[in-house]
Amino acid sequence: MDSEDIIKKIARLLDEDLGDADRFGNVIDTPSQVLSQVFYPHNRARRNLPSWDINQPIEAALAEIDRLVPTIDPDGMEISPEVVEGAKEIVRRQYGEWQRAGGWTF
Amino acid sequence: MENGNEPAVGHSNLRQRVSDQVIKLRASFTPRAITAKSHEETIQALFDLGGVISGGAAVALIYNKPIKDVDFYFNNEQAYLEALALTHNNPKFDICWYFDQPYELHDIGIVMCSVHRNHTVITEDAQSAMNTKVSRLFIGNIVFPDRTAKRLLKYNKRYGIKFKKPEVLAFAALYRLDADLVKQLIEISV
Repeated sequence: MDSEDIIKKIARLLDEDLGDADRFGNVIDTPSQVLSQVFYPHNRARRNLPSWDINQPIEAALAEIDRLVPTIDPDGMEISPEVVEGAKEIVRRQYGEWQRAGGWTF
Repeated sequence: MENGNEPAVGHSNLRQRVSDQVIKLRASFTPRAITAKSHEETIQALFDLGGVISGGAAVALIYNKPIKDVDFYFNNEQAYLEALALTHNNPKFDICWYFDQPYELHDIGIVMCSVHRNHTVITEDAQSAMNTKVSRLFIGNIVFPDRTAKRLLKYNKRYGIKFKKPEVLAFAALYRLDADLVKQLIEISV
């Protein structure tokens, strides 16, 4: 069994036939593309797509920060308002990157 | 595709399928001319195939710490398959694929380095973390949040590395981490 056979076998196992389009509309017709399907989680990150675990609107993510802070730091000693605002800015920036990369509407 | 909720549909199924299928592939693959090798011989053989160590094992090597589990990265299909064959029954090795750089998808600055057969690559993010003992966290690269959180704790314990509170808090909110875990992460953040 050579590498081409093995890659085709992976493709069959994935129910993705060579020559077909993947869920993103890309035609899978090279071994590299099949391998990229096998390594789907990493490929998502490479394409700057949101992780599978992200399934919330940005407002919910921002609200989660406000909910978390008094829970984990009731005395307000560890997390300053600047840290909170910095975290929210990172969330906004990340959602912005995902939206620009994939046209996502969270 | 345009629907932002779509990525979540069926994802756990697909992840499980891929995992199952790779396991099946490894189990059915008959290694050619491969005999039992020591840990060191296996590492040498993987280097011979063009593999590169990256991630936690690379940091351990740079810090002259013992390495246990090793992630070897390849971007050559034939070499990748040979490496899978070489290590298919060895849980100490994970064979990984990369496109441009072995550290391209790492989510923690300190591990953005790679050990090649004859040289070591330490990116600016890794060098900065080693110098300042504060590492960046790249939220866009996180795939398995629980594993990332455990690694943050591990690198703090092993190397004294700390993280940035805004990044940790954003990570926690995006992935809805457990509050007790977030407390631990905030304690190792500046």
